[in-house]
Amino acid sequence: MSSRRSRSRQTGGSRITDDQIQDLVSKLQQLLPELHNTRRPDKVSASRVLQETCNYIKTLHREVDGLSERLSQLLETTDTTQAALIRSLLMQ
Amino acid sequence: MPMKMVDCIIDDGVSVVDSVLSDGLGFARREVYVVKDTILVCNMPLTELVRMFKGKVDVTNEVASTSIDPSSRPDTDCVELIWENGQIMMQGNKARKSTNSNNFQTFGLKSQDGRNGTNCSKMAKFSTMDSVMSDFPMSVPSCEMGLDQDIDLVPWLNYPMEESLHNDYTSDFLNELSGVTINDLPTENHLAYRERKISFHGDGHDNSASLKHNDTSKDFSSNEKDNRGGSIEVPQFMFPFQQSVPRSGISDITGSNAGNTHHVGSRDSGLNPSSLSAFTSLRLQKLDAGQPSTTSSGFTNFPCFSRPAALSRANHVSVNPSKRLENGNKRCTLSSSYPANSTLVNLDSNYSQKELLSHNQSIMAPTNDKSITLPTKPPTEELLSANQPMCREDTAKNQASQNQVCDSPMSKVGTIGNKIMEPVVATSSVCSANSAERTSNEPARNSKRKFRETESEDPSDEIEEESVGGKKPAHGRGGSKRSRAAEVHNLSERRRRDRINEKMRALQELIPNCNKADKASMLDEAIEYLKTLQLQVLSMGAGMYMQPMMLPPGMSPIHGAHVPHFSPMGAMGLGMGMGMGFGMNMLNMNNSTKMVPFQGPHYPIPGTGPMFQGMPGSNLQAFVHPGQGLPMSMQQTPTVSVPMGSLSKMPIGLNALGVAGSSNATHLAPSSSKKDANPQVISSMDSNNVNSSMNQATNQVKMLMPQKLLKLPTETTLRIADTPDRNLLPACSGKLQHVIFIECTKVLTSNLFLSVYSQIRCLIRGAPNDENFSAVNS
Repeated sequence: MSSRRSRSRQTGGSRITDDQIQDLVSKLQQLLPELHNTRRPDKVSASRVLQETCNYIKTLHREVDGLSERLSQLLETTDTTQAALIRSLLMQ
Repeated sequence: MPMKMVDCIIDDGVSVVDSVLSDGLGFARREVYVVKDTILVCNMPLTELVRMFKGKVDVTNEVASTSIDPSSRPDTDCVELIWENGQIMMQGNKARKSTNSNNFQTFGLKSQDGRNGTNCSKMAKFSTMDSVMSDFPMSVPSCEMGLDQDIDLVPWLNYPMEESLHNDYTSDFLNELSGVTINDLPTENHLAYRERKISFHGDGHDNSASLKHNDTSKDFSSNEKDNRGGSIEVPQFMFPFQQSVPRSGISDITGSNAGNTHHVGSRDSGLNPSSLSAFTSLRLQKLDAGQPSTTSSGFTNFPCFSRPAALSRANHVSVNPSKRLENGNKRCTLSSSYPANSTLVNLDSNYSQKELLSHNQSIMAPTNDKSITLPTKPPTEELLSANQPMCREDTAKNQASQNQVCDSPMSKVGTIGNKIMEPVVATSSVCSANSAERTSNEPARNSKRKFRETESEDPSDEIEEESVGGKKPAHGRGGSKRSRAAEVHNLSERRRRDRINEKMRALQELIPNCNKADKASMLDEAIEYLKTLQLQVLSMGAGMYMQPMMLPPGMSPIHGAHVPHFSPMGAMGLGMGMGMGFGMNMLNMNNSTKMVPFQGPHYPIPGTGPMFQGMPGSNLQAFVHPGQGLPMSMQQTPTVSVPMGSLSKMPIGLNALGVAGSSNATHLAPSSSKKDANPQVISSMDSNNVNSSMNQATNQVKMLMPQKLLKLPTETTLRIADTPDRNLLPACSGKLQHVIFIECTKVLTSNLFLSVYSQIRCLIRGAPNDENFSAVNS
């Protein structure tokens, strides 16, 4: 195919990029809960992976926010010496 | 001496140790993966490990006492691979399995009841591990990649500077463009890029991008260079430029409508200074400069197809002035314009025509195409002279159609683009022959033009098709069918790429401090960031669950109902298995948002007692509060997701552990002198802040985890730092950051690490001195 040919003619660097990107994407996919259990993991398109990654990151962000809030609340309310210790460790 | 940081994650006795070896340059990773009961310590360069794995790791059992035949690997509950002296040591713990496996298994991913199941899962884990591992080597090449690209770009970047003649050319070119593009470029770069969904830059993306670099660097060397900032922003660069073109075109139109004089004036001023001499110099330069750039870049492939378009455009432009925009008459005028174009001398005339062109534009309310044509013209003109009538005719057609479109909205242009496609194709075949004979620099230039044109045209798919169609014939001069197929393929490919790029940008926005320009490093970063986030979430979740453990035994009311899903251990084990390196079933992670309402201390402290004290004798079961019947509930609960959250808690877990330990074991005489004993501990951390915090933390940790308790080798120091490196936890800023890194000074490459590690694990797990580990330790 012409496209392939043209690509192959590119600098070696960019060709590597393609392969690499594929690998990276697949790696990324492995990190995604949504896509990890897909039946045919190799069939997932890169754009889908990226999309899911975005979503996932957002989710994680929310999660972190929520958790940090909770945790801080928890630490606030807890008044044991241990808690203080933890706090000192966590909140430095 | 490179600093080694070990990030310890400890849960139910299953720990994940993620060690990062950061030497000023970057980070080489050494990781210990723990999935539930399987512990894999790769204490060696990952590439090595991967190689080993791929090559069917011949696991030579170096340690007699602990060695297990590879074949028996599945049987082992705990397998550790350690890179030592160039050998991989695999250590397994059968004993543990017999005792603990059931407990752990229950918490396992899919609750493996029997050993068989366990074995299977283990194998699976290994395979996953393998896959995970295999990913790492990639990152290395990516770096190289980046370098390559940089190198490639260098000539282009420097290019304009080096050419003495270039100045003329640039100025000339700039002048021409000035009315259209240049003004808009700096300011509109990013806006344009953002506002528009860029659907072009597809297949030939890379080529065009690089070409563009070349081109743009010439044209706007100053601007572009600033923007570049050392990183290769291929896509972005393309866009701003392309976008700016159409925009400026529009603005031109409007401006021209309002006052035509303005446009013309600017053009004139631009052109006048750059007289014939400039132009000739331009030519020369092309010959000189064009050669190296094209050859080096290897972009000769595009010459053919790009050419027809450029030609047509150029013709179109040149014709227009004389034509005065009579749509129907185009052909005639075109033919008349042939002679003019055929000679080099005519270039001048063309130029003068250009001036008129601006006029035309103002008059006829040009579409994007028109405005685009302007920039392309100068370079193409040279080529034009040699062009043949056939091209012209096609061009004429094109022009006609375009003219018709002229007043129509952009969307229409797109549809018309399709119509145009045919003629273009035909032209291309003819022209390509011509162009092939030309100097190598031309092709590059043409392709540039072409790209710019196509891209600057309406981004709609139809137009893409056109551009693609233009390309195809060039490649397969022969069969039209083939070109068709290729065309279709190309188109779909392009669309795919567009989608990907779009997502890529979205992703980039989500990653803090991600300035990476090239995709590979971007993805790399995304992966790291994702891992970090997962870890963070887990650690925080762990913190939540860990806390109850801190409470004095008496105080801990346990609400069986809620608690079910996790004994901390189970949760952790699970989490680790899933989330950590393996990224296995992280499915639930998403759901973990709905964390089970954490109500007070679920955790029975009684469990902690045994845990900390001791090591020997106490086993997991002891740790898991028997009364709770946690395991069972665990199995039942689908809400595994929650526990997952706790997975990352390991750091915290450790922390908590330490704390708890201190509470329990303070009387054990924390060895405060320990720090002094270890001079090597001095951290080589980059940031002072981190250092200080680390030191503090270290002290505390020492206090909390007295040597006695851990039986740490004297030369080892566990250092717990609170977020030692912000880069590792980019998202944490301003939020709680509890990932704790344990720095082990000498640990990594030796048995020390293992011993420390095992001790920690034993500590937590309650399965103290495993024969294996003790053997290793001794």
